[in-house]
Amino acid sequence: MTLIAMASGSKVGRLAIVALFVACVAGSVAAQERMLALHVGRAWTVSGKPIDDAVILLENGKITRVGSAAEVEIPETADLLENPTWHVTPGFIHAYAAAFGMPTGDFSGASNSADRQIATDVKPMSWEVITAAAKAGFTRLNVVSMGGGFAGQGAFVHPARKQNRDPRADDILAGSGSCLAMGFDPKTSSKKFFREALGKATKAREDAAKPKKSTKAESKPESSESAPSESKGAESKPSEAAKDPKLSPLVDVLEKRLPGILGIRAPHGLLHMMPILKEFPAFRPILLLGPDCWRSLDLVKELGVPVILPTASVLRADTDIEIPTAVRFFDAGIPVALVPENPAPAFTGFAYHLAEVVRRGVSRDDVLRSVTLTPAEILGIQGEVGSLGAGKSADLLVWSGDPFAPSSRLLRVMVAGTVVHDSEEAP
Amino acid sequence: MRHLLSRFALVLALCGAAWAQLIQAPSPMPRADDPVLAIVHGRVCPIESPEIEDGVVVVRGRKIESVGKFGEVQIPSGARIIDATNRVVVPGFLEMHNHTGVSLSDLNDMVFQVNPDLRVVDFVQFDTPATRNALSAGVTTLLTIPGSGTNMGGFGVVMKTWGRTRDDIVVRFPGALKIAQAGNPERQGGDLGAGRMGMNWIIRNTLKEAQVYHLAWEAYEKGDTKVAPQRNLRFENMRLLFKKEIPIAVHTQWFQVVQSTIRILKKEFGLDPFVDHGEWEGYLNTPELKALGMPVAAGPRGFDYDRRQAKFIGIPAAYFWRGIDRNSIGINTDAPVIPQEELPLQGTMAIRYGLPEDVALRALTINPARMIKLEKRLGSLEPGKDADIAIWTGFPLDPRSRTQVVIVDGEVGYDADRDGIRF
Repeated sequence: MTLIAMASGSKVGRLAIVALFVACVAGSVAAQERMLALHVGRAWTVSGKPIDDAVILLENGKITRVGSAAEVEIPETADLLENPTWHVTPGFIHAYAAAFGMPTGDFSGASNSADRQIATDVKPMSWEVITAAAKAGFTRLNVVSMGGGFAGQGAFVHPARKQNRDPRADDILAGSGSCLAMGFDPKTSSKKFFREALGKATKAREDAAKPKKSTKAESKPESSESAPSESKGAESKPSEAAKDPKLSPLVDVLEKRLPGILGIRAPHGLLHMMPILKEFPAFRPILLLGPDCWRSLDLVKELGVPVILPTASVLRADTDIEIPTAVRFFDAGIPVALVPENPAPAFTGFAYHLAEVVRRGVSRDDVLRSVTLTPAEILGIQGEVGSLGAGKSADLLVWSGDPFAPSSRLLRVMVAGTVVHDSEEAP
Repeated sequence: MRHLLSRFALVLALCGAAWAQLIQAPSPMPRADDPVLAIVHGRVCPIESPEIEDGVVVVRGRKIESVGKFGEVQIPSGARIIDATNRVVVPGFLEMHNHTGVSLSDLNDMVFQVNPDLRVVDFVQFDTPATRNALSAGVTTLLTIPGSGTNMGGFGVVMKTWGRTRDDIVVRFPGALKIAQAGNPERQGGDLGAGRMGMNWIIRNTLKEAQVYHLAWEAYEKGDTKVAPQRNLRFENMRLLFKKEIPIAVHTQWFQVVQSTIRILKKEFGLDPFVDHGEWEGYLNTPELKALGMPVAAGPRGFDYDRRQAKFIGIPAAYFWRGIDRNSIGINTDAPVIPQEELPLQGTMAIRYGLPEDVALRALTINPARMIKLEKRLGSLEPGKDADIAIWTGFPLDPRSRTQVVIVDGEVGYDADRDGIRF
């Protein structure tokens, strides 16, 4: 204002006012989302066939169109990024990011922290940890705390662009209650724990399904704390047991409202878990398996559940014959979500480890799916991320060439249309 | 006793003339009735000539008979056909720094500071898990050398990774002399050879003695002198170095040590060393290496944080972009430092850090063959050469590719369908 007052009257002053006005308009245009068009050599949609000479239109953090250049017209108003050698894939989804700066739980295999929401604990340690995930191509991570029994409910996290201040939880948090993380140990205490918890949760489901006879459940000691507020509920609500915050997540898992991930490290663990799984047919969690669990492949197949696996190969005992665990599961037709062997921030080399799985005989499409659409599906977020399609979040990776080829580099990582990693800026 | 001794002397005298000769395994030329194999429809990379789409490689007996375009090359009737549609056909890879072709406990005898009389050829092993894995990664030839525990570890052997008998797999003995200039031999300590001055002295002194021995015998063999010099078994194999029939595999790295390789082994004695390892700032010697035509087999460390440039550099790429020509650059694993089956991945890393793809492929085939002076027999797909061929599912140095079939001396040593995917 002072500038305008000072300068008014002179010719120069009028020019300045015009300049100021133009600057304001330009600023407001820049602030609202402009359409971005990517015209690249190939788009790996994952949900469908790869598209050569592809155009991807992005607006307001979403993908609005994907198709071949012949079909999709690029609007003149759109910013254009064009390179015929580039490839685009959906961003990678980390199905089980433990130790991402998270506290770890009790490892007894028999403790219940099901009511714990990791989202409230998300304390990003540093930008380095966050950018390490972006650099490895992850645009969505299911962050969990490790532990036995019920370790707590996970949260979705996405990498963010580095800023000149310490990272905060809301920079990276994309959602809470992503899954119930569980860990089973082949020990008596852990078996007893799972059997009891599943028994109670099953009972709660049965009670909820029955026409209510409200007074009956009140005598149960577990639900005594929540009893007062509950007693005169006439509307059809789950029973008290299901309202127990330490039990209700398990009910949700049984009802398939919440993905359950059960960690089993050793192959004999599954053998010990089988009777419990047979006893509770509604309990069919996603299995997080250790590399040696290829030995229990037939049991997994019998259960018909998806698995989360590290890319690692293992050596057969007393030999140097390598067993590529992941390949065995792919070959058996089991849905596989691959995760890095190392916890964050050591994501380095993940693309190479995926290439190694291809070399071991899994198709390139299947390997790409195992880090995009499959984890999205098992975590129930396939409507939002995991593939390139209209309406999906603009979470994508721009590669300088064919993904995982030795001469290709990950040029850009986008989360909801924002560049969170740019190889030209990063060291 | 006296009788025995004199007999022994007689045997020595009879053998004398043949001692300083290469023992090259017989590699019989093909006969008309040898089995014939034809690899058809693949993308053939002969290395020394342009790539052929829809190519054919015909193998007769142990040798390649013809290479060319499908339809232009005559496929003999009765040939076993291997369909390589959508596959890439390349020569088997050569490793210039291997220790797993023999048992690992037998690599270092550290009684003396220099051991030119030792050799690994007597205990080569084959069809071990190590050689099987190497084979399944398309590695068909190894230069297996003694360790670097002393300044001269002994003589290595050139061997194949697959064969039916022990004699079948030995390509040439001696393969190369192993010299370790620094960066390992000093570990054993001792009065001499714990520092670089002492180590250089002892290498130079031994080479000098061997040179004098060689010149004395050469003069006698030419008829310049009448009295035969006294036979010295210690230096007998070293004559091959001075005859330029075999190279020296020199464990050398760091700027100064590569300097002394250049100065002592190449300039003073005129031998044929190749820079083996060549890591750290060894690449700063590139102008001199280039001027002298000295090849480099870089590795196992494929990249390094260069403090001068404050960034990661690829070591093979550092040599290449400073001027080592595309025919003189090699890549090694120093197996078991890096498992032998990861030689192609060493090539992958070299590409990742800036070596052009075609040069990386040469660095694993024809270039190492030239380093061990076997380029007439190994390292490319050409008529008359050993039929060591790998059929890959894609570009061999792409980590997503694997071998489908590996052929050694005309026989299928590994078939992923038959043996299961090992690599």
